[in-house]
Amino acid sequence: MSGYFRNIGETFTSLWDGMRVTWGHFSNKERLNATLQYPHEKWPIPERHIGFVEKDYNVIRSRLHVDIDDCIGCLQCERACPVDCIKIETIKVPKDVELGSTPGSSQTSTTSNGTNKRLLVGRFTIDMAECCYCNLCVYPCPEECIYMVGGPNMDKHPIDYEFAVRDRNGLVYEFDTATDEEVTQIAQLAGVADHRAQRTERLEQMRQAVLAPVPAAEAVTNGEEPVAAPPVAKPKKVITEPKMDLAVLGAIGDRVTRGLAKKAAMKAVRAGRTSTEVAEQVKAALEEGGKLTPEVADIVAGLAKIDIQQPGGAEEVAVAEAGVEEVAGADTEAEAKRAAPEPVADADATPKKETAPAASGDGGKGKVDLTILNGIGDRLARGKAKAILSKVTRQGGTPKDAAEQIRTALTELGKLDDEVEAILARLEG
Amino acid sequence: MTSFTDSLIELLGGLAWVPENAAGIIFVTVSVLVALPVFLFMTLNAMVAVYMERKVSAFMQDRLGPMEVGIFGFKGGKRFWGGIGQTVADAVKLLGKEDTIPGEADRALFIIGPFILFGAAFATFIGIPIGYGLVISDFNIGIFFVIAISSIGVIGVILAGWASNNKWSLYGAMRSAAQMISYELPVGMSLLLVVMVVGSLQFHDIVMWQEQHRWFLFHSPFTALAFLIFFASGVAEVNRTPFDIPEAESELVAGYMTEYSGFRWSIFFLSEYANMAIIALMSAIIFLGGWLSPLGGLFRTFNLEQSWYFLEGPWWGVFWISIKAIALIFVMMWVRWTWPRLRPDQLMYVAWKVFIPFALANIFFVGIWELLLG
Repeated sequence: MSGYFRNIGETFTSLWDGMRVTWGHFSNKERLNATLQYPHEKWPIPERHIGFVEKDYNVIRSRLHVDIDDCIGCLQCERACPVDCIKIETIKVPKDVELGSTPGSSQTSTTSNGTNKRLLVGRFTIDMAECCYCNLCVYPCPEECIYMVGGPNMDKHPIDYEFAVRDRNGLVYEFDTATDEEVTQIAQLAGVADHRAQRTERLEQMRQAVLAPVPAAEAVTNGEEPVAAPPVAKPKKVITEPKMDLAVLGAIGDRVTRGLAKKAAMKAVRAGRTSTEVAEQVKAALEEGGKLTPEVADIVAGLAKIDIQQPGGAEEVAVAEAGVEEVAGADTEAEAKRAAPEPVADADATPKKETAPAASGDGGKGKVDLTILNGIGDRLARGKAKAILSKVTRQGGTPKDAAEQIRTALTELGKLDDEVEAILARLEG
Repeated sequence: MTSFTDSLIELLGGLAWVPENAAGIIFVTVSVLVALPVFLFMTLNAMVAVYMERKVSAFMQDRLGPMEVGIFGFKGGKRFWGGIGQTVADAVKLLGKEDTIPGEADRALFIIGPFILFGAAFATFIGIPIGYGLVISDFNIGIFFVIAISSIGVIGVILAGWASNNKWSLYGAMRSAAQMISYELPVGMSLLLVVMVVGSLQFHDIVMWQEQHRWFLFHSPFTALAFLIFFASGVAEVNRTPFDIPEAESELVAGYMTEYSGFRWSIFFLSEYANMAIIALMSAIIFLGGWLSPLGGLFRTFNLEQSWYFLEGPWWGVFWISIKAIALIFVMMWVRWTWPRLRPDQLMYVAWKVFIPFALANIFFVGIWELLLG
């Protein structure tokens, strides 16, 4: 029974204790309140002290700011930036012109430290999306005009650490104050390129490219029924300069020789020579380099038979009849070539390829599928084999003859192993 | 003794253009006219009390509570009394919410449930005076009426819990029923003791008695204890912490209100706060002298001049009763944000093993007190 009453008593005292606690909080709400009404009130961003002497190395990580009137365009900060988020472009002001003297100029001729400004800062952007807040750009600045806002720099610029934007481009802060006219004017006086105008031009080009109408042919996607697709001639590639199929030179085994030959050939082709002249020049170049062997000479002579594609010519491959037939035709052609490298006049392919460049038709005479020999591991053996194969093919031999000759040649060199044998067997087959 | 309803009937009956023998029309008109202020009072009470509750709870937990929503361009204080318009915004939001009824629910009962609870709270206000003669209808069985009608609310709670077809709702409803029935007894007994002393069930008579003698809170230690039991049981009857096991959030989601949303849910809310106001007003009237000025007794004790009685006019009465009720509502909030919830067994222990024995003993001792000192 006494426990019963003691319980009731204890209940009252403990309940009263609890009431006292909450009343203490209620009546001291102003002192104990923990809420910070964020958009209206803000915590100061904590400063971080680095270095040995705290007051000398007082650093705040907030937003970079530039007092552009004090900037002399020395690019020190741009160079210091480890992530290249600072981009500066300057124009050297001619000696006889004082910056800011032109009417309507927004520039000052000197910084607040009294330094003469000899460069017009036409662009000063900082991409805060890229900035890593390392503060390294702040130290080299001779005019102390770039700094993190707030904290120790509170007297120069109030704190700003809330610069969220909807678009990432919004994080690119432009600090330059020079007007377009000013930049143009100074650039003309200095006789240098006007980067603002260039930028405008580039932007315009990009805009045009975006706005350009989509070509009608592009609009036709690869139809599910190629037969039903309208016969639209699709310009495959527009050749702007003379071009020549130099694949033949790939038959040259020696890499240095091949490089020399290709270089010479390209030069000659660009100079607008005919195939024969190209072959001559290549031969001359190789002779000069002392690389001209009879085999190489043979290969180079093959160049003379390849047509050069002239610029401006309607190099339109009729893809209109593309589709299953074309693919099939190409397949048979390739097979035919592999079976008999002799460039058989592709009887069934020709009518479809009336407008096709001659390079793939006639030029195919000197061309042979040498890739089958790529499996040969030894470079010397591969070169030899390829040379023989292309030579035999050009002379009208069958792959069997070529294989026979390659076998002989490689045996002499001691390079004939099982691997090569297998490849040769494939060539014969 | 006049009441709001009597005055209205007299007024309408005496008007020249009202046809004779139009009792039906007068009855309907008067019903609407008296229902309107009650409804307005309940709504206003809920809005103010919700705002107060949010602020009080916030301050007790070192927060600020609502601070941003203003009304008519007025946002309240900058630091501590902001967010005046919060409850208005909440009310609008609640009314705009989707009204969902669970597919497996008993539709009819589900819809009826909150309105029974609301009806009970609504009807209870009819008998409660908020000033001298300021009562919808002055019953001579006022206390009995209020206790009887407010007990109807439990039916609405059980219906809501049952019709929701949700185990949490049903648990909440069962607990609520058990709790409300248990705590009816201490409430009735502690009021019985006051009725015994006054010799009337009418609220006006009780206040009159207190005017002639003294507040029941200070009348005797037993009436003070009766006030404590009445107030605590009253808090239990309106299902507030620490007696809120019917809607214990941490165990029963929201108890019998779990499946309700939007308007129906706001009806529950309205009723809950109306019940709070009822308990506070009843405590104020029966134990704290109702609309009497707390200074009145002081003046009378020192035989001050009549000019000091200016604080006791009928409208000052409304002010005093409001102050007392608000103070009691504040105590309810204070208690709610301080004490933890009781377990169901502890709840039953408190009702049957503590409150009821004490209330019974109280009746006996008050009888002796009145016999010897009355």
